[in-house]
Amino acid sequence: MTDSMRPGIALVTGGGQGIGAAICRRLGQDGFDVFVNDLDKDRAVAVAQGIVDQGGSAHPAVADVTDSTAVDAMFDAIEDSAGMVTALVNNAGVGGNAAVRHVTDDHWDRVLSIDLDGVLYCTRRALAPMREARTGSVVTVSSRAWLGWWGQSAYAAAKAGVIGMTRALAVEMSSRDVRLNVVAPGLIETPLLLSHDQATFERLLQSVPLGRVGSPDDVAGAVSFLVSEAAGVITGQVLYVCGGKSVYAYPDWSN
Amino acid sequence: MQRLVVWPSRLPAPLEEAVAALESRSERLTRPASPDEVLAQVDSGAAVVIFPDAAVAVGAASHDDVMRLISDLGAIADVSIVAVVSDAYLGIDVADIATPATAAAVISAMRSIAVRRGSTTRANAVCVPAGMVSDSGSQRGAMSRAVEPQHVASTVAFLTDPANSYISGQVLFVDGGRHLFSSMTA
Repeated sequence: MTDSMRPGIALVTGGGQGIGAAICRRLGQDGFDVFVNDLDKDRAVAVAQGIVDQGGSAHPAVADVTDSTAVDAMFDAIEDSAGMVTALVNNAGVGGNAAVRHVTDDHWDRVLSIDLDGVLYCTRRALAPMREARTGSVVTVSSRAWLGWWGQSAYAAAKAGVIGMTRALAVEMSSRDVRLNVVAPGLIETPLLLSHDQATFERLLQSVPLGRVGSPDDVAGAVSFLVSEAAGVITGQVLYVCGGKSVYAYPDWSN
Repeated sequence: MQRLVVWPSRLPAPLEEAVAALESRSERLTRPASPDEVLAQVDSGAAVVIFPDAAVAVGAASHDDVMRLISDLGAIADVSIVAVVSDAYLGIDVADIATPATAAAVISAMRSIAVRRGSTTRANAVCVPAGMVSDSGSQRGAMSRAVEPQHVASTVAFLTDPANSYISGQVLFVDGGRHLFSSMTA
């Protein structure tokens, strides 16, 4: 694919593993020039190399999303080497399972810093050139957990925060035709989910109407749609990839 | 290629254009005339795209006919249902009470179908500017770009695609951000 045929330049934060890596691979297949951000250089290099091996175009981009100076420098470097990021995917995040009596100041600050502050730093920097160019799209990975779940007070606060931020910025950027949306996964087959014991896993599965877990590729498909022209007038929305769990989660009250 | 059953067979011009765009993607698209014919054509593996409040608006069916059809469709296994409705139910159009009521009822029905435990049938809704259903008024949202019929078609195609089968119970607004000014969408 020649550069003029590419749909654009994508930057995926936390792209070195799990859902982020699946998003990188999918956008690579879609033809994007993909910048794989991760804190861990080896992971970013491996995912980028995998995309190149499949005939795509990709590069590692190491930076800590909680450091706004490092984020700005990462965007500067991408613009110098390739051009404006036309599709930003805010995927970097950290889980935070803790009953409220265990939600220390440190726990709260860590979750909010990565899952909310990091999204602001990347989005703010990405929007500056998008606003001038009157094109571009941002997708932030939130979670169905923002609706509420046991042990998720800090995590839900951060994941609700990105939804509020996305809606406000979707309004603010609408006259420029820059779109911002959210993907909210439910139970996705990741190492974290699979680390639960069988009984816990089965109970979690009971909460999903479709009765199965999703895959990282399911999330990547939703991101691929939202950054594409197929979703050209979709903005400020939360697209759930959760097998119907956002409608009603069938909580197991004996939990 | 997936089979697409589209109802009703006659629609307001902007939605008719959206169906034409869908038709160009699928060689296996049919347009049954009545709810009974829809049910006769839908079986496991099919996708069905219905325009319920538009069907009422063009006189193809009553509100009750529409709700009965959706109820029957929801009972069929392994079907992907997409309902395209007007966004007037957000409280945007105060002149018309009946059309928003049908749209809201349909969205509620989609959620009920989506949440049936262990069911393999998916149900999603696409919400479009009211002007596309009544073929009048602005089709613009907050964005500068207008909402075009092909945006409706591409969103319906995304939701019916078996590759996106983990999405169910979703309402997607194809509206340039118009829904953002309503609390019913958060």
